[in-house]
Amino acid sequence: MSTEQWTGHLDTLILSVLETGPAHGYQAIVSLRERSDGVFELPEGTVYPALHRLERAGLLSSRRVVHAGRERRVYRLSARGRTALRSRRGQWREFSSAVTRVLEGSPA
Amino acid sequence: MNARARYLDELDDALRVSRRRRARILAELGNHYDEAFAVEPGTADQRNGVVWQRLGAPAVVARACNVEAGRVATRSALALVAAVGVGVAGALAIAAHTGDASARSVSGGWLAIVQVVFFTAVLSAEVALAAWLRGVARVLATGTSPALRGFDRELVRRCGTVTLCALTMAAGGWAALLVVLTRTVRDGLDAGVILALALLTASVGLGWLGWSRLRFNVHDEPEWPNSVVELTGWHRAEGTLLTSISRWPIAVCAVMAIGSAMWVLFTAETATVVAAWPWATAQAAAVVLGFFGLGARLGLRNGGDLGVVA
Repeated sequence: MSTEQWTGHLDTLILSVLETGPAHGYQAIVSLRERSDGVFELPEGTVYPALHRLERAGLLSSRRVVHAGRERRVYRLSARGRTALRSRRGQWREFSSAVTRVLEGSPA
Repeated sequence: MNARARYLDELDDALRVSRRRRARILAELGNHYDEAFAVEPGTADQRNGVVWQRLGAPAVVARACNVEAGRVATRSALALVAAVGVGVAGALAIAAHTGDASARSVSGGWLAIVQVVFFTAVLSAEVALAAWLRGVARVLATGTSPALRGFDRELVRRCGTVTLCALTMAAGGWAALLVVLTRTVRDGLDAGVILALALLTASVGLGWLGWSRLRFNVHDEPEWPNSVVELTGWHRAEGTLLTSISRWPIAVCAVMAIGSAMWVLFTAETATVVAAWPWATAQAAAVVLGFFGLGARLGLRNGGDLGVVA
């Protein structure tokens, strides 16, 4: 799948990955790659601006933690992020089922 | 220098974001590098190769960060410009209310102030014109396209912001000239003039701040793909005009600068026409040179990325 086809959904995918619990950037990116069986693979460094954007929008919060002598920034889904994710998930289901119906030619 | 340090160094060079944001990005990417390197199999060279490839080239990562930071700067710059607009409007109102209608001659320190303000005003007007034309050309070029691509929208938004910032500075400059040139030095600095000058100084300062925050933003533009939409009919006229400005900026700037200088000189009646010529010439030259420096910095003179298919 080409990167252009799914990067528009990157914000939603990140929110979904962080729904299961707080994670630092690397964990979130690895999780995204694994959960998509390697389909969602893009330059990993470009995910950080998206994390920052979501934090600025109040959908994520972050804090610095020291783990094994190394400082990391851990991201957590906020209450607002949870609500946004629920809404986006609903929209995606509606959209994808409509696309599937059209592509497979089955009546509504 | 090891591969990790080299990666972060290249990223650092390519980033055009605030110092705080830069520190955060470098720290997070450095951590990411370490985490990925620790789990990858193979020799150090192989691991570095895999990590480098997965992270993406420093230029690619930096551009994503720059674009994101640019969006934020553009939004806040618009708010800033709105605030500045209020300041300029207030200053103009005060100037109109308290100003002496008769034109006065200026000399000494006032002349220096007039020159600096004049330079700012004319240069800002030029930048506003170039950015506006660039934005308009892109809008017209993509107006007939079935889908306006993301980078087109972004470019138009940025050009609009640059235009607003520059216009604000130009308006502030012209208002300041009016205040200075329509008051007598003999009258002294009464409260109205002091307030007007304070407002104007704040306006130009804030306008400059909003404008300067867009720098890193515009630097990314020359690398964006051009619109594939071909200009047709009368839309070609904008393309031609824009290309002309890009190809012969000296001529365009000189005409604008000399015209503006003469307008100010005749309006202000600062001296006889003969005595004013050296001053006007120096001003025009300064404005043209300024445009060359600033225009390039703002990415407004790059003829190869005008969004126009000739």
